[in-house]
Amino acid sequence: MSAVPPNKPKLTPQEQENLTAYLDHELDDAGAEQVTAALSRRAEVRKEAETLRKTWELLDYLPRPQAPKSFTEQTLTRLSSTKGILLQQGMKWRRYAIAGWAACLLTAGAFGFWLTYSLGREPEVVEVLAPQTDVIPVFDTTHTETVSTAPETKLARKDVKDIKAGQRLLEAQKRNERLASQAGRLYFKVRKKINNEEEERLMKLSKEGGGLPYLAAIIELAHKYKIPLIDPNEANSGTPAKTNKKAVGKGNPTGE
Amino acid sequence: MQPIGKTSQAFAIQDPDVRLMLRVRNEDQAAFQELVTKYQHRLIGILAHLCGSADEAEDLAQEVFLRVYRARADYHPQAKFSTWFFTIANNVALNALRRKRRKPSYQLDPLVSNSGTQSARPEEALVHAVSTEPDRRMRHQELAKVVELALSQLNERQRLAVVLNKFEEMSYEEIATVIGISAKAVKSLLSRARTQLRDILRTYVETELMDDSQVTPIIMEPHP
Repeated sequence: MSAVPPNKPKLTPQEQENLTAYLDHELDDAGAEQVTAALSRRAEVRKEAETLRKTWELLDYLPRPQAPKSFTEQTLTRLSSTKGILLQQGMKWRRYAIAGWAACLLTAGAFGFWLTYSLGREPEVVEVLAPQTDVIPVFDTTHTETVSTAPETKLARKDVKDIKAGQRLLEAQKRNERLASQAGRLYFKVRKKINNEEEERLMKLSKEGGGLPYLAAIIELAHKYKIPLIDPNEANSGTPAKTNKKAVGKGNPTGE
Repeated sequence: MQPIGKTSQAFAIQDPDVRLMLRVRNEDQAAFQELVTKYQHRLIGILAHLCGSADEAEDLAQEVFLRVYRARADYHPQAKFSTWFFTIANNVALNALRRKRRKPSYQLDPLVSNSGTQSARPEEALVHAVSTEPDRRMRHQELAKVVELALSQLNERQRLAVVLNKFEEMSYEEIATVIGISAKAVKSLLSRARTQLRDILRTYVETELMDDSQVTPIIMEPHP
């Protein structure tokens, strides 16, 4: 037997498909009519149809294995044993699912806690040493700067990238140092003029902690004895050249 | 009991096996047993031709029934039950064949195992089998082997399409659903398969035609 049949029918692949479909009753009316016409006209189509039909019939010789008698019973037994396995697998998966859910909940909880803590907490502060001398209001004729009377102690966030806060703090420190120096100089000038009673008052205020009352008393005495509050030399050289006047005001004590 | 939709109801009315499967879906164990009993021979017959071994076919058939049982809750009839059932069978068989290809094992050629001769090319083996068995009583047995061998020369899809068409009398549309291709592709697939079978069995077919005492011109059945 050769692979290529000697008298291969001269049917196109389309005709071959239609002929097979015709034999299987799978063609529509128009297609069936075409094949019927070809069968009546062409001998090679008739021969091919007959060969295909005979070939198809030969498949009836194929062995048809039957299931053994015990097949149903075996299948049901296998099913019942599999059911147990499936149940176990189900339980196993259920355990995995529960563990998974628990892990998800824990993770979500931890994340939520972190989020709440990091967003809602008070900013961490660093205690910054206050200047030795409290800030006092200082006025002079040449300088219109209003200096904050609030103690510029504290407040820079340790973990915040607020560069301005650091700068403000530095400026406040410098300002305080300058004013402390002015207050010291004023005190020495005032001390030369004051009487004993006034000196005792100053001493008393100093012992009570100094601060604003003490410095206010010095300023009061300076006014009394017509001592300029700010040394003209110092005023010309030490005062910051640039001051944001708009930012400094009543409602914005820190000038921020 | 789960409710069924209109399509499912329509199929349930037409197809008793759909009704049976719906009972299985509702945890009716007796219905499942009935289903196994009803389909076991058909299924093993199909699977044996797909995988080439009756023992393996039995094992696969059990696997198919187990899958059917596992899938019962999701069963919503959209076609004849047999179409759905053989789709599962096809999947199981294809998986088995893939596994087999990954782990090939030596199998005796059915013709060689009987004759004890060395394996020949299928076509040569067919000629040998036909020409050396003139006895009519033995002819049926021998024909079975010849045709089985010819069928084994087809590829998996062709083989499945042929056996479903031949033994399950499935339409092209149903075969298409089982295999997962178009009906047009099934038409082409079956045409090639039958042409290939004709070529392999040509000598025998011609002998048969000549042996026929009454060789009548082909009379086609009226087309429906």
